[in-house]
Parts: sequence; structure tokens; C-alpha cells
Amino acid sequence: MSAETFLPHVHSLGFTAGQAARHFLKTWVIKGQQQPDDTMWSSIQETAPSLWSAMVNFPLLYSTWWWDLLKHDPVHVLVETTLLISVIYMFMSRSKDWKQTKKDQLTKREEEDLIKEWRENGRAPLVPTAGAGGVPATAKDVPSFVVHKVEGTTMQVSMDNDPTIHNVINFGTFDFLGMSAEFTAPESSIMGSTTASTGSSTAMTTSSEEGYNNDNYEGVEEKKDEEAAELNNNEQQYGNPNEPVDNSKPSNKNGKRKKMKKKNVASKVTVVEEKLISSNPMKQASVEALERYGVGACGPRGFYGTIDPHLKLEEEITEFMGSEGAILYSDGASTVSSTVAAFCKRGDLLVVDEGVREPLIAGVKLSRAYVKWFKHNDMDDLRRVLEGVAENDKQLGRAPNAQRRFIICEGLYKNTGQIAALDKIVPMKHEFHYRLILDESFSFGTLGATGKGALELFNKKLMHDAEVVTIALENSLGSIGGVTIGNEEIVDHQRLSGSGYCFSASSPPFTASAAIAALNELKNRPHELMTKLNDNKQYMYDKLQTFCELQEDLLLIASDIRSPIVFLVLAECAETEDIDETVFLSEVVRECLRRGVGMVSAGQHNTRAGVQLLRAEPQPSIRLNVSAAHTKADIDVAINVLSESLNVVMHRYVEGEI
Amino acid sequence: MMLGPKALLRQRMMDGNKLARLSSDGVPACVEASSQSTDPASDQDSDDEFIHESSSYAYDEKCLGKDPYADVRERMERLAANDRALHATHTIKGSTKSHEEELSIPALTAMSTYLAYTVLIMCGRIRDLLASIFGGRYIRQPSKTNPVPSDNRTFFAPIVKSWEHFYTRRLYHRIQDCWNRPIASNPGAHIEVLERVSTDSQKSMKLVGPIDSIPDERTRNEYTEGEFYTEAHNGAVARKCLNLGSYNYLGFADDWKNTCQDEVMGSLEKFPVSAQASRNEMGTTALHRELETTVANFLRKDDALVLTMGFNTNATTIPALMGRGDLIISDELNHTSIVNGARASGAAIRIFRHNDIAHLEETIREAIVLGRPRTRRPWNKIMVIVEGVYSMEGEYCDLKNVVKVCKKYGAYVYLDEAHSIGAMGRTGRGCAEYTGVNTADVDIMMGTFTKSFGGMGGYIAASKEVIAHLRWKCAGSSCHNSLSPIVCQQVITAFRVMQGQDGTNLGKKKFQDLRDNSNYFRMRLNEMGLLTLGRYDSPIMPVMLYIPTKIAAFSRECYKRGLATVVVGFPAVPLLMARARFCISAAHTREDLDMALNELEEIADILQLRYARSPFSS
Repeated sequence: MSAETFLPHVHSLGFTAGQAARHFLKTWVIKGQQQPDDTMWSSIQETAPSLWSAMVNFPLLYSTWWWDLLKHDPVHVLVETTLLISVIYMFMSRSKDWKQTKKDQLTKREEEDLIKEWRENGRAPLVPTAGAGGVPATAKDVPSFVVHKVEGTTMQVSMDNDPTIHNVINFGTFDFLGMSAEFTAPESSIMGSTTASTGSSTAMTTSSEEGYNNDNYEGVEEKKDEEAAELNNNEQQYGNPNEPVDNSKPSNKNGKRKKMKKKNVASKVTVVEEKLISSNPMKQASVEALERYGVGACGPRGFYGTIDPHLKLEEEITEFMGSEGAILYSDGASTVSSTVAAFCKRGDLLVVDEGVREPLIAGVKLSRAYVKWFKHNDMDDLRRVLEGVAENDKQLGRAPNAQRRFIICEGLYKNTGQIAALDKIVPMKHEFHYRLILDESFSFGTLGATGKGALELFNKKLMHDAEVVTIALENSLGSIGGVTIGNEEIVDHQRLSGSGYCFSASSPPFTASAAIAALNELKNRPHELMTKLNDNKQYMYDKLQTFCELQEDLLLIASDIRSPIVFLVLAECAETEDIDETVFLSEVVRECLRRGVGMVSAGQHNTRAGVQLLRAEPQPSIRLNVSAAHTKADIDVAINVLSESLNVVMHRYVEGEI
Repeated sequence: MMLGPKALLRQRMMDGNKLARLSSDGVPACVEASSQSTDPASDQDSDDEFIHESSSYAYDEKCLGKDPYADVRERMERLAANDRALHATHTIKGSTKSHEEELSIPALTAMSTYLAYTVLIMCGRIRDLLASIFGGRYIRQPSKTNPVPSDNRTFFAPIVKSWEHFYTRRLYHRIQDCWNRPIASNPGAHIEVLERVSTDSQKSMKLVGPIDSIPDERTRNEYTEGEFYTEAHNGAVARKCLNLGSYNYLGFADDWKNTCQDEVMGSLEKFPVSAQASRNEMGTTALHRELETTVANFLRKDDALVLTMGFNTNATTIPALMGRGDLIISDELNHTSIVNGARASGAAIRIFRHNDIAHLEETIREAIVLGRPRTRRPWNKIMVIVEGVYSMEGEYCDLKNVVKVCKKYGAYVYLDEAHSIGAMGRTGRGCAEYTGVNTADVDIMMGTFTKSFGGMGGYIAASKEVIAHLRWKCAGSSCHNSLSPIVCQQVITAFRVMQGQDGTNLGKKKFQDLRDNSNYFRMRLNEMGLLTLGRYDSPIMPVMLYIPTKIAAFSRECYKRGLATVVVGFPAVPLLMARARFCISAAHTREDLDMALNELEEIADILQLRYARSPFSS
């Protein structure tokens, strides 16, 4: 049978089947009859015979047609059959797992052997066993300090598991404005500023005034001793719960304290102890907040972890910095890394300074964006990178708005003490259309006429010249946490996307209260605090300059002279050629501590321990932080001690003891 | 798809039958089985003291006073013992459902959930369209007086991605009053929630402020005549609520004045609020050292390291331990901090199905046998990361089997006890104690002080070498600011109370109350027919809501009735799996919980939440 005779049959088959289906649908489904009625049956009976005959005849018809085709056109049949078979094969093979069949299946025993082998020989220990007892070599090189008490600018510190306690002047912590120190504004400070102190009792003012006007270090020591004696005295009284609460203590300006007392908060804080704590507005605020809220916030911001001091702090920062909003994180480091990761996503471009601190690096890593690094604070290199991108754009015909682009830098670099050249970065950012993420964690409260940071120093506008600004509250403000400021869009976006904000518990409310108190101090007498800090900085650098010359340039100043973080590095000369800098400088720091000045040995410790946390690990150095609470006597002492220690250690080095 | 709830229903019915049986023939079989095999003598790892201790959960009336749950005690204990034997200690075998089965959403609900999202998204798009024509709140108007260059769209890509922004604008903002509710009191069992209003159709929320500042008398009366009206310390309008949301498990926020105040205030004399330096510089105080010793002793580990933030503890420790050539095997529901840490480490990451030990074993086997992808070299080390209690599921980890599998294959175990430390186990030592695992078998124990201790920060407890290594290599220790000394003191004192070192049995009472409160609440929720996730003895109980509109409705209904509850939607949980979550505290009393349960009963009727009873949830 030829194709011409076969096809009508196929058509009739399809037609009949279609007819039946149509009828079926019409009567049974559409009319919704439960039982097929008589008409239905009759119609089925009508159509059934033709359908039946078509079905019965179909194989016969098909085979005859097939043979016919084979006779006429064997090549056609061959090709079609091959295709048909391959299609069927492909369908069948899809259900098989290619992965399993393709590779050589290991037997159970082989698997067990492999696992046993890995378990016994291949597995690395959880941490590398470096040095004796698994302690990394650096732990011995670098001194570890334990602080036992902080009193004003002095600390009681012990070192290297040695229980001996040294009384030292604190140049180690980032307390730039002296907020943590028992620091009150003297009525007439040495700078001649007459701004009235706020929220501080008069009891301490006189004693600290003495401290400020005292150029004799001995006198300062005496004063500290007196304080310590007083404190011991207080501690005895503190233990007595029956001590009546005196309501006649100096009341705060805003009268909050009074109100709280009215609410009859059970307080065992005695009068004298009150005096000590109230000498520091931050501690005063902390005590108030602690009495009301306890310590923890017990939840993330979204789930009842937002307590009114948090909101207040956000408002105050917004107002102080003149931004559209602020968002409070519970940790300075996660502020930075969460902010970067919230805005920079896969496909974005980040141009990052090589000297940025660790949280920024973590943020950059988490963002998974394209990263281009430029040399630390090298503006020519930044221009080179930006021009390279622009060149690339031109070649690809890509508009600058095709991807989000950011320049990331710090206002004041924690690890090098350099200040970002915003006077050059900002014009470049405008020229090449980048957004700027600026970390003002260390520049806030240290740079600018009123302590607003590097933007103020270079007279740049927030939100216009730097879109996203992060500030840690842990340095100048002496509290815990961090804020990101910017326009409304930037702040709101982080409330759902900032992982450190959404997924972490909020900071204890008392730290927010303490930060507000510190911020108020800065707000109320910015010029006084900043002048004091600048003056101390100036004095420190002047003294260091002479000191370095005296030491025949053995130590060099490595930081910017506007920075309150002072870095001293060993000069490269014949004498220092073979010195292991980290060990040598750490030894100097140890010696300084024994002689009563606390500073920090900074630099390559982590690289030496085998991990690279930073992009460019800074040079080994000694770090001193100047604070507004330091007196000139303190600085004199620090430099004298440094010079003595350097001589001693150099001597020991020449003797071959190190 | 329909199987999940049905199976659950069956389970619940079985529970009901058991209840009936109990009243007639006493103790059911499962309890006997569990009490026999949790016998310390039969436990291999029981050389540790606290495992002995943990095997008995009887109420000590002599020491703790009258039992508030005396009438339901037997029922509660039986259900709890059954769950524990089935899921934690594996002393009885039973058909345990996988997490997926338990969560499975009924087809009808799934359809209506999708429908709800479709409608929401369509409405949002229409609003966007209208806003682009007529302008709106969300269209950022470049300021004419003070133009900002980054608003120029020809040169700058928008700062936020469009879908994310759309979700925030058109879905989240519409119900944002359910989250971020500020409070003006300590986060204890009863809180004062500050009332908020929105003047710009929910784009932002503003505090109502003092009652006198409201000009409209009718609005003023609405607040003052409300049942829960109160005035916060700063005079603002607030609502007194029962707090079912904070992680205040042991109630240290409530009795802070009696337990911790003296010592914390004392520490403020010696130390500033913040140490203002990193741990390796000058940020280690004597209190940090003391706390580290306390933590290490508490968990029977060699040494510990405390860091300033729980989130960062995970995010910085994991990169310090793992690197290229290592493999991290992580539970699919692990917290974002773990995910962040694992990503930052550069190690390869494999995921195993939540709490599915068979899948974990399969993953480890395959990893060891096949080695690293492409190079086929063996892995340097493999670390399995699990959480003690999963914060969005209320489920504890099957630690016993995890440890067993890891021991078998030589993988290291990293246990995140953020929610379980202090909240699980007879003496609050977390998931390890509860499941009867020796802490020596868990290589790294991580936890936070935010929850049970009412503080802040996190710890890592491990062997001496690991901690010595971390002190230098963990960025949280070597670069970030150290934990506040004041908070250190708070945590030390909390530890003292928990261990009874303050000379009272307050700690013991806290553990007992927390466990009883949570078991009672869970039992009643189950009886109510709400689809409650998690197991007995866990203080976290999520209740499934599924449909997005129910998220807001549930939260607002609760708030109206003086219950502060947490509702969770996307992105914290999958889009379809919206839920409410209760966190029970030791500070709750039975009256509090009964009040809450009565209100929930009504809300469950109004919102049709009884998904465990039928897929139609009625």
C-alpha cells in the first residue's frame, strides 16, 4: 500500500477518535451529568464500529505502508530509522545518572580505605602547631597587657602573665578626647577657654585643675595617690547597703537624676561614690541607664531590642553631623563591614586604599564585588586606577551608571596614622562619578575644628562629597557601637540589609546613654576639647622631633602631624640593619611599661603569626595615642621614658641579650 | 504536600490518646524506656559530672517552693521526656519526621500565600507606576538648592537594587509597625512599648511622644482610656505589654537589681565603659581574664576567648580557623553570622539538610572520597558547623549523632550555642549537656552573652592551642575593640548566680522556671492546634502563619491585647514560611502565660491559625 492510500485511513482514525471525544466532553463533562444517558450510549454505539475497524486495521495498514516505502526509497527509511533510534536512546538515557555511570564507581571497601587513610594521615590539625606548646611565636615577641584599673589617664597594668602591677600613664588606648578618663573641664584651662562644664560636679574640678596646671610630674602622682586612697575608702562604704541615700548630692543640669530618685529606684550608691562617678558625665549617664534598663538589650533591634536611648543616640548623631539619618550598630567593626556589604554587591566596582583596617577588608571580601586597590594614600595611583577604569569603559562602550562604583578609604588610618587626602579624592570622585564610603571611626572627634572628622578638616560636605560615612563610637566617644550616617535612602536601606544590624542583638542601652553623654560633651565645648587635643598633639610632635634628633634619627615619626595616633618606626641605618624590628620595638614597649608609660607595639604581628588580615601589613612600630586629657607633664614623662627605654634596650641589644 | 500537617495531626492525636492512657494506667511505656537508658551507668560518655546531673528532671519542692504547675506536671514531664528520648538522647526509637516534612505547607495554604504575594506585588507595581507619573514619597527629588551629584542617574547607578528596594517600599513598609517597636523599660517579662504613628502612610514611624503633645482630644482619649496605657519614664505614651519576644531566657533583665547591680556598679568605678583598644593591645582587663576562666570552667574546656559581639565572634573566628583547602559543612539553617564567617574564610562550603544526620554523613563521605573539586587533592581539614538551638525553628541540634559521625570520619565540630547556653540543660550548660554529649568531643564551642546572661558579646571555648592561636589570628581579638569591662562583670555575676555561687538557689530556680514555662506554653499551644515547631524543653517556639497578611494581623492583634510578640517574614525565613515566634523566659509567671494563651486562643479563631488541626486551619 502506498502512502496515498494509507494516509486517509490515519485521518479517519483521528477523526473518529476526535468525534468520540467531543461528544464525550459535550454530554458528560460540560453538562455535568453524573451518568452517561441514553443519547450518549447511542452515540458511542454509532461511532464505535468505525473506530474499532480503524484500530484493528491500523497495524496492517502501517506495515504494508512501511514495506512499500522500503521498496521505493530505502535510503530515506535508513536515515529515518537511525534518527528515530537515536531519539529513543536519548530519551531513555536521560533517566540514567551519567555522573554515576561515567566515572569508575568505587567499591565500599575502597571508600573505607580512603576515609581511613584521610582520617589517620591526611587530616590537618585544627590549628597549626607552631612553636612550643602550640603558641604562635608572636605571642612571646609581643607583650600582652592586662589592665587592672583605670583612673584618669593612669592605669594599673600587668604584663606577660607577670602579676606585678605597674602604674602607667595611658598612651595605649584610643581615648582621644579623654572621655573615659575622669576628665572634667577645668574652670580656667591652660588654653584660656572659659566654656562652662556640663553635668560635672565641682568636687573633682579643683583637683583636675591642679593636674592641668601642674607641670611637675611628681605632683600628678601625688594626686593620683590621693584619689586611690579616696577610692579605697569609698569601696568600704559601698559595701554597706544600709547607708542612707543622700538626696542633697549635686543635681544634674537637666534634672533627670532628680526625677529618677522620685521614682524611688533602689540604689545603694553612696554619696561619696556618687561624687567619684559623677565626675565623669559618661559614667553618670551609664549609672542612670543601668538603673533603669539593666545591662543587656536581650534582642535584635527588630524584636524589642530597640530601647529609647538607641533612638535618642541616632537622633543626636544625626543632628550633630547634619545628616538625614543615622543607624546604630552594636559594634564598631561590624558597622563598617556590614555597611560596605549592604551597598556593594556582586558586579559592583570598589576602589579601595591598601592601608584600610580589617573590618573594611572584611566588608570588601563579603561584598564579592570587583576590587581594585590603590597604593596607600597615593593620589597619583588612585588617578591611575580611575583612569584605567574610564579607559576600559570607553573601549567597552559602557556608561558609568552601568555599575555602582565606590571609593573606600578611612579619614584617619588606624594602622598608619595617615590622613586621607580628601582634598584630592573628592574632586576625583566627582570627576569619575564614584561614590565615597568614608570610615571616620578614628577621625571623628580628632580632626576638624569641632571634631566632626576628616570631612570637616577638608571643608567637604557630608552626603554631597561622601555618600556613606561610618563612625565608631568606641574611640573618641569612649562607648560601644558604631553608626552609619548618610541620606535617608542609605540609612533606611541598611535597616533591612545591614547584617550586623538585622541579625545581631543591639548594644546595651547604657552604652548608648554613655555615648550620648560623651557626644554632649563634644557638642557643648568642641573648641575647648579640640584645642586641647591639638595642643597636646603639637606638643607631642615638637618634643618627638627634638627627641628623634637627639637619638640620631634612630626612631622616626611615621604618622601625619595632624594625627593623634603617633607611629614611631625604626630608621633604616647601619645600626638597625640586623634588628628584628618587632621584637626590638616590643622590648622597648615593655621597658616603657616598667617605667610607667603604657604604649603599644603595632605592626606585623598577624602576618608573623601566619595570617594576613590586612591588605598591606604596616611596618612594625610603636604607637602612642595623644589624648586631650593628657597634661604636658604626661607627654614629657612619656618622651623621657621612651628615650631611656630605647637606650636600655639598645644597650641590651648591643650586648647581645635580645 | 498535604502529608505534613496530617502526620502531625496524627501525632497530636496519639499524644491525646496517651493522655487518656496515662490517667488510667500510670506511666506510659516511652517514659520508662527513657528513664532506664538515660541511666548514667549505661551512658558511655558519662564520666562528666553534669551528665549524671542532667538525667533527672524532677521538681525539687523543698528547695524551690510550691510547684505552680503541679496539676499539669505529670503530663508536661511525660511529653518532654518523650521528645528528649526521641530527638536528643535517642534512647527510644520512633519515626522522626524530617524538618521538611514538619514544615510542609498545605497545598491550599501555599496557593493562597502565592496569591497574596501576587496581589501585593501587583499592587506595588501599580503604585510604582502611578508614583512615576504623579510623583510620590519614594521618588527621591533632587534638591534644587543643594544638589547632590549622586542623584544624577546618567552617571550614577541607583544605590539600592531595584527588587530589594521594591520589597522594602511596597511590602515591608506597609507592615513595618510590626517590627522595631521601641521600648522604654528593661527588656524583662513586662515591657513598656512606646506607641508610634505614621504620618506618611507607613514610610516612617514616629513616636507619639508625651500625651499632652497630642492636639486632638479624641486621639488622646483613645490612648488614655486604653486598657494597657501607661506613661514611660520620659513621659511618652506607652503600652504595657507582656514580653514574649526578648531573648531574656533566664530573666536577668527582670531581677537585675537584686542579682547583678552591686557588682556591675562596682566595676564602673574601676573601669571605663569601653576599653577603647583591641584585646591584644591594651583592651584586656582583669575582668576579661576572669570571665574567660569562668567560661572555660563552666564548659569544662581548657581555655576561652571573649569578644565584643556575638555576630562578630562567628564572623571572625571561622576565617581564623579555616582557609583555602579546607571544607566547611554547614547546616542549611545556620545563622547569617556563620554564613558570613564561612564565606569570608575562603574555604569550600557544603550544606547539609537541617538536622539530617544521614545527609551529613553522606556529605562527609563524599567529600573525603572525592577530595577537592578539580585538583582532587584531599581536604586539609573538615569542620562541621551546627547550632545548639536554631533561633527560627526552636529545634535543638541532634548533637549526639553529629558528634558520632564527626568522630567516625575525623571532622571537627563547631557548635554555636547562641540560644542554648544557659537555656538548655539541667544546669544551663547548653545543648551538649542536654543531649548528653561530653564537651571534650566538641572541638569549638561558641556562644553569646546577649541572651541568657543579659549582657553582650560572645565567647569561644576550646583547647589551649586553639585559643592561643585565635588570640592572634582572630580579627575580633587582634583588631576589633574589646568587650566592655562593665558587660564582662555582668556576665561574671550572671555565671555566679547560675552556678549557685552567690549562696542562693536562684540559679536553680531560674532553670526550673524556664523549662516549666516553656514546656507548659508549648503544650498549650499544641493543644490549641497551632502548628508549633521545635521540641519540648526548648524555650523558642515558632508558630506557623504562612500567609503574609497574617503576619501583620497576628502582630497587631497581639499588640492590641497587650502581648509583645515577634513575627518573622522574608528575608529571615523563606518567603512561604512566615511565622510568629515566642521566646519564653524564667521571669514569666504562670498567670502571665495563661493570660497570653487565652488571648492567643481568640486570635487563633479570628485569624484561623490552627494549621495542625486541618489544612483549612479552622
